[in-house]
This record gives sequence, structure tokens and C-alpha cells, in this order.
Amino acid sequence: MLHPLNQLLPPVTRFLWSQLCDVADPRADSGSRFRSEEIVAEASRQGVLGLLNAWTQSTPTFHLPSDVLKAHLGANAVRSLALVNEALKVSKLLEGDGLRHIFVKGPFLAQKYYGDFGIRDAGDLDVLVDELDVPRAVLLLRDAGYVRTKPVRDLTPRRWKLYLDTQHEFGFERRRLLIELHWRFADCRRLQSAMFPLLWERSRHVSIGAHSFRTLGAGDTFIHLAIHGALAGWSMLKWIADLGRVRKTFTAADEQLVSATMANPALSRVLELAHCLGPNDGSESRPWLEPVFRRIATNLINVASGEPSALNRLQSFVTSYRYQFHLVPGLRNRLAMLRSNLIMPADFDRSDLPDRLTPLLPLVAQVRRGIDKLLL
Amino acid sequence: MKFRRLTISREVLSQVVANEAVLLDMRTEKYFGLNPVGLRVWEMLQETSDLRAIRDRLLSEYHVAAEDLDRDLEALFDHLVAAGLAQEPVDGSP
Repeated sequence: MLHPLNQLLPPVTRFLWSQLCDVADPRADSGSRFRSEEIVAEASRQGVLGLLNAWTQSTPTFHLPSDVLKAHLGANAVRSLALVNEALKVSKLLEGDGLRHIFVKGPFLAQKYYGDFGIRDAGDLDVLVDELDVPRAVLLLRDAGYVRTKPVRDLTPRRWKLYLDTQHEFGFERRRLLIELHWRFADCRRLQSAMFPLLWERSRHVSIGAHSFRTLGAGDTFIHLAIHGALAGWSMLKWIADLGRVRKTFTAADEQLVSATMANPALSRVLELAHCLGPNDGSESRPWLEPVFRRIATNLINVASGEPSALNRLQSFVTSYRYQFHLVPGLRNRLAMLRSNLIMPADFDRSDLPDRLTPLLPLVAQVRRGIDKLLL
Repeated sequence: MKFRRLTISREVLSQVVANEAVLLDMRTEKYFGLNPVGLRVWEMLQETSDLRAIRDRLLSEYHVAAEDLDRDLEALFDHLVAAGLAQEPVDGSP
């Protein structure tokens, strides 16, 4: 049976999807009917140009325009080098204070699962620490000159507690590189699969150059990708490609971990979706998946639509909640998601709203206070 | 040649891009570029520190006069050492 995305994706995207994500597509050809510029542009939008380049090395009949490719891959190489360099600094900083930390995704995933830390587009640096170590890690980063970008405002002690309880990251910036300090995989605590000590126990070393970094084990990486991808609407092919790549390295313990995690009702659909997006698993028909696949196809097509207007952002906010609710069934799970995403307006930017909506702000604040009262 | 053996500095990271390479020295945070032949030398330096062996392999791989190759290699090795990208190994290291 054809994978549902076969029917929904436009030809060039489908071509990339089937070639780079190892998905059987009987209608896929060698790509020769597409202009190479068309494929490069789409691969670049989907964050898979490095993967496409590697694939073409083994497919000599398929040529990519070298100037465009070189410019993009060169920029990506410099970015990956900068990220690893920054990771080493962050690592030494945290290690110097005895803080255990795990690097997630980015160049570390690329090195571990593709053997080349620059093959995969990476935007920022994600580092996971124990929730108990977050205040210390925040101070260390600040004292080392990293500028906090999320939340921008200072937090009162009560807000600190709320923030740790309901959010999942602090954002920092240095020399235009973003460093995200995480203590869980997503805002919603129910989407957490395991506490830090367990993640640490299952974490693995990955070597880049002469240096060694800790990264999540394969099972935890898959779970993290499943959550991250689901929340982001699986809007880039690079995330879907990662699923298959990580899953190929699974040991029996990783399989067991993922199966056991599916017992968490907040995660069952999220993981089921990740399985169905991965290679050779899209053939089983599940009615709840149909609207989800339609949404994912729309997201993949819209990835290049550019900066949305404030109104579109609002619409997209509502739509993404509807979509996330679809993935996280059960009243308690949904309330937990609402709570984690709504009560913390610390990084809310009023300039996002068009003028005609600003009179609604007091009402929004009132609703938030009500939710605070109800849920905290 | 001025140097007999060189090893790549452990603080240097490299990325290959379309037959060329971008290097980053993490101590100085400076980026460097290598052309295809420079990349080939860099790849060989990852395998051996013996510059004579590298020279001999290059002689067999490229149609080049030995004197020209020696001159170019000398210049490249000087650059790598001056930039801190490679160094003479301390006694006892491979």
C-alpha cells in the first residue's frame, strides 16, 4: 500500500522524501525529469541539501549545480564548525562546575548517525541539563558573556518556579549563535519521557575531531525527534529523514524503550506518528492519522512561505493547538499542554499583535490569571 | 624540507565542502580554506605524520615535477605551522 504522503506531496518534495527518507515510492523516478535547480531549491528549503549532496555522490547520473551547492554547503560547514566550537566552550563551562549535560540533535546527531557533523543543516545548539542544575547553568552562561534571549525579562522567584515548571528552555545568544538550555524535551511535562539521570545513563559519547561530547542514546533521540517533530508539525524533511537514520541503529534496548514509552498516553500518538513517518511503516491505515498527514503535507509544502503576518501567526497558533490536541488525546494531557504554553507570557512580544487587537490584551491577561488559578 | 614530521593540532576542526576544506582553529577562532590538493595533504596528515611518505604518495598521484612539489609542500607546511594548524610532534608520539 502506498504511504499516505505519496498522495499528498508535490512531485519534487515527494522525490526528495522517497530518496532521502528511504520510503518506498513506486512512482518515484531518478529525478531526471526535474530541473536540478528545482531540486536544489527544494532540498535547501527542507534542510536536506547536505544529504542530497551525499546521495548524489553515490548516484553519478544525477548532477547538481556545483556553484549553488558549494555556496550553501560552505555556509553550512562554517556554521557547523562554529556550533561545535561553541559546544566545546559550553561543555567546558558546565563541566568546570560539575554540571552533567547532554547535547541534543544538531551537529552531534549528524556526526553520530550520518558520520559527518556538517551534513545536516543545524540552526542552533541544544544542551540538556538536570532541572535542578538549571539555575546554576543559567548563571554560568550569563557570567561567561552569553546574552539571555528567552525569556528576555528577569524572573521573580515565583516566575522562576513557574518557568521551570511549565517551559522547557532558556535561550542564549553569543556572536549570533543561539544556545538553548533545556531541562525537558517540550514545555508540557507530560511529554517528557524520562528524568535526566535516566537520560544520562543511556547517553552516548560522540567524537568530533579530538573532542568527545555526550549525546542522547538512540532510543531517547528517536523519542525526542518524535516530540520535537510533532510539535513543529513535521514541517521539514530533514526531521523525517533523521527518524529512519536513527531507527536503523536501534538495539533491542532502544526498541524496548520506545515501546515502553508508548504506554504514556500523552506520547502514544506522537510516537506512533513518528513510526508511521519513518521508512516502511506507512502502510498501516489508522483513521486518526489521515488529518495529521494532511496537516504535515501542508506544512512541508508551506515551509518556504516566508515570514507570516501577525494575523497568520495567530491563525497558525490556533491551528497548531488543534493539531497538537489531535496528537495528545485526553483532557488531562490537553489541559497540561494548555497550561504549559499559556501561563508564562515572559517572552510574549506585544509588537507581534496588530493595533486593532491590543484592546484584547487585558482580556488575555485575565484569562491567563484564571488558568493560573485553576491549574496551579 | 624544513620539517620531517607534522601532526594536526587537536584544536583544529575541519569540514570538507565540494573537494575543498574549511578549517577552524578553535583557539584563535580563525577559519582557513584548503584547495583540493591542500585537502588531499590534510587527509594524509590525518593518517601519518611522516612528510616524506606524504610527498611520495603525492608524487604517485599527481603529474608533477618533484622539485615543484617539494617547493609547494614546503610552503604549505610552513603555512600550516605558522597558523598553528599543525605542529612538529613531541618525541615519542606517532
